[in-house]
Amino acid sequence: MATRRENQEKIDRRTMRRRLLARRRAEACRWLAGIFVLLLAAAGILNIVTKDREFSDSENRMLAAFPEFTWESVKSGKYMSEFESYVADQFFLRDQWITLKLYEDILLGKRESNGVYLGKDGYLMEVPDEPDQENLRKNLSSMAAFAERHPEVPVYVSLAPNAFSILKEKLPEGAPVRDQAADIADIRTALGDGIRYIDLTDALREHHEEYIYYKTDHHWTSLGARYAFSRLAEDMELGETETDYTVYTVADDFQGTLASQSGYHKSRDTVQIYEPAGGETDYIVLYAEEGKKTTSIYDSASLEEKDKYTVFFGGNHSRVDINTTGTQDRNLLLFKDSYANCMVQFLLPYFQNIIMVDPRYFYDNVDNIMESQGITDVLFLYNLNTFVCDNSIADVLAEEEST
Amino acid sequence: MIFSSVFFIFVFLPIVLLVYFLVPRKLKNLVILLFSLVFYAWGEPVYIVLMLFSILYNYVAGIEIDYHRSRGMDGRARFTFWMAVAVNLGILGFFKYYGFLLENLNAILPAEIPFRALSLPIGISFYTFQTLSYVIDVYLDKVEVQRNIISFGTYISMFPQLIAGPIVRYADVEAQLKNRRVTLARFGDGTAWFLRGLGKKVLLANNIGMAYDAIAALPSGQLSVLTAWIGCAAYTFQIYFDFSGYSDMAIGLGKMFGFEFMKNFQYPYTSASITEFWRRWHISLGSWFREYVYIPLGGNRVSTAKHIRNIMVVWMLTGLWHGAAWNFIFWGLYYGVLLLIEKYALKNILDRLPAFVCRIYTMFFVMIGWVFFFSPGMGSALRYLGAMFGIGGGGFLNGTTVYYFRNYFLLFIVLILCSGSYIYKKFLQISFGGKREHKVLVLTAYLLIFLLSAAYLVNATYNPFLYFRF
Repeated sequence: MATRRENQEKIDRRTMRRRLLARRRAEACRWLAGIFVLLLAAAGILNIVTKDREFSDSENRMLAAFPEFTWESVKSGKYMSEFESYVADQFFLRDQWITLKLYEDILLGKRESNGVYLGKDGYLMEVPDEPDQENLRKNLSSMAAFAERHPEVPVYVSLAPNAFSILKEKLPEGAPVRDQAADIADIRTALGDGIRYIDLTDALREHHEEYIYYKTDHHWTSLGARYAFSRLAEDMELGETETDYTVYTVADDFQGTLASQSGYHKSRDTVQIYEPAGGETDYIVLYAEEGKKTTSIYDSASLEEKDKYTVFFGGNHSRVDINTTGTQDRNLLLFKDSYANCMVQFLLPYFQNIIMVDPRYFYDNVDNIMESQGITDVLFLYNLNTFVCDNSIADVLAEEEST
Repeated sequence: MIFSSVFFIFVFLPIVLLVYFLVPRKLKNLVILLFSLVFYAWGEPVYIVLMLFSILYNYVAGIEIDYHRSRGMDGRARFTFWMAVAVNLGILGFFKYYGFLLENLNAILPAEIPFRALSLPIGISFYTFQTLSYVIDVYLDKVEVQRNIISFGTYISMFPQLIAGPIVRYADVEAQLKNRRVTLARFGDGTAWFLRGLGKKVLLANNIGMAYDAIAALPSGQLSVLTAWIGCAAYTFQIYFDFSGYSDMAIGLGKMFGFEFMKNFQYPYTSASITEFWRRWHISLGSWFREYVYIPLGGNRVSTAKHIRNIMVVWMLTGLWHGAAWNFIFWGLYYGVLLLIEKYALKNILDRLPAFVCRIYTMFFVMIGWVFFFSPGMGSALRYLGAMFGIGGGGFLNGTTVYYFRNYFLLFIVLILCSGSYIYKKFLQISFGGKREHKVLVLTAYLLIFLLSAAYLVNATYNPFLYFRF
């Protein structure tokens, strides 16, 4: 009899407990429901009242705007995907959300954020891009063909290895990167003998403990460019070159594109410009497309901008002509990416004219320039990571079809 | 549109909820139907036509089957039924397998048949199975025919489970389509499911997915044995947390609108055998195949030879359902064979082994299985397996291994812990089971998941969804 009652009590106790748990859970669920709905409503209101921004300083890019409604764009789905980008880009406190995400990543032990390695000593470095093999092959053969068309002019190619290969020690432990030495070897083979390749690896590597790459930007510093310049000067036979420079620091709070891309804003960089101590060369800079003339390769207005590396020429342009007052008899045609922008300050005294062409934005014929400007030297100056992904060089070098 | 996006959570969902709870009861299904169509058209506007056709066709087919059958014209009912099965499978086949079929025909035939591979309509594999379950059950007189086109359309297109399941059988929601109630507590329960799923997807699956993507992209020379295993483990976790997270979100959203969907995952990686694994993984698909293929074929109540045939048929179809490629078919057959071996040879042995040995055995074969699943083709699957077993030339361990190990060590610990039921049970026990309840703990935990996930969504550069392709 007793056991039966005990059993019954046990069952009752269990049922009671189950009911208690269910009651507590339901209670918590009601709270959660209320809070969730309130949060959705609050977020909705905040998103509506938050003013749309055109540009994000910290990300260094244009933000998506409210899409225009057309039947066509709806049918293709373009309207919807633009709408989604708009909502994400104009989300309230976007910058703070991005910072929160970065901290979550770091907390998890990740040393990588949005394609950027978070290296040692505050160094940020690009995660190398996979080369675009097909375009690379096309570019290299068009460069070789170009050199063949102009046998009287020496054609130099110099590709700067990136921070992740020169400053290996600063990478997160074991971070996988491309073997740029192997890439250079392949490129040299493909270019053939008609082109003089200038290898900057040793010149840079020798100084890897110095400040030769920005910590927060994917470019080299002026100091890095300077070491590279000594190498170029030697191979291009520029003669006695300047060794003494006056260095001006023009910005010390630079946060470059890698900071924007990763969301990691801990480090600051210093931007410097170099002026030969032995006296400045006078020159005129002509921005062909913009039709603008200046007397300086530096754009001081850029120092007020987010991207202070654009102090050199104010960024990239399709074509820039620099005419110096010097009496040298050499004219340089420089095919370049943004790495070359801070190299020009060192090249200036040794050429009468420098024509800078950025194939990414240039659509004219370059063979004409060769003749009309009396070009005596051609230099392709790129950083390797950009070069292996470029898809514009071949088009610009293509021979004009005879009509 | 996917659930784990800023747009869905902060624009689409609030609007649907607002409209749904404002309109009178009579219009609620219509609201779900209309918003589901918007949801479906959002990513692929053209295929909305296909969706509408599917709804209309099966609606009419159901009524016609019922009409003939109720008048004793079994022959006509049978004809309409098989016609409907053929049309549904035909659409699925055309969009999903046409390219694959022609590719293989071209390889065999001397003449080249030109074809253009079609982009797969989102969720077609899921909603085709749902329409089939309706048509079959109507034919077998297991469910009432649905005469309300809005209710029927709601069932087929319901956005919570439209693109990735769970595969809801019509019989399971028949009553709910007519009559359902949402209480605040139920809505909150749905919220909890949704947030748990969101966390699984965004915090766990996406993060470990990056490890898998990076390792899969390594040149084979850099792929050491350990790195290959880390990559395979990363995918193993990614696909589970991705898919089960998405299912949890679907179940949660369902609850918010008063629907109860079946559980789709039950801690599959704690299984002690392959047989058990498939009772815990993608449960709604497994039970669909059991109900509509395996049992009609005779199940296991037939001769051994026929049983083997039945198992292999079901698993070949399961593989094929996951994708139109040989590696998926192989993956399906691989499980068919493993299940047969377990049933006819290993069963007694496994019963006597300690549990942890059984679990290691299960996970080993599950992970090998995923290699066939994630590889773009059979060739690369074998190459990857080669790397895992030292036939690749990447060495046993290198700098890259160390990098990934350090980067993801902590996450792997979290993933392992979250793969079992212990953490969640403990959480419930502490929150509700003690003398005093800890409501604040529960709310903090869920809101934290929401906050941390939202940060990833706002900064969404990486948000793939694996089961989108099926």
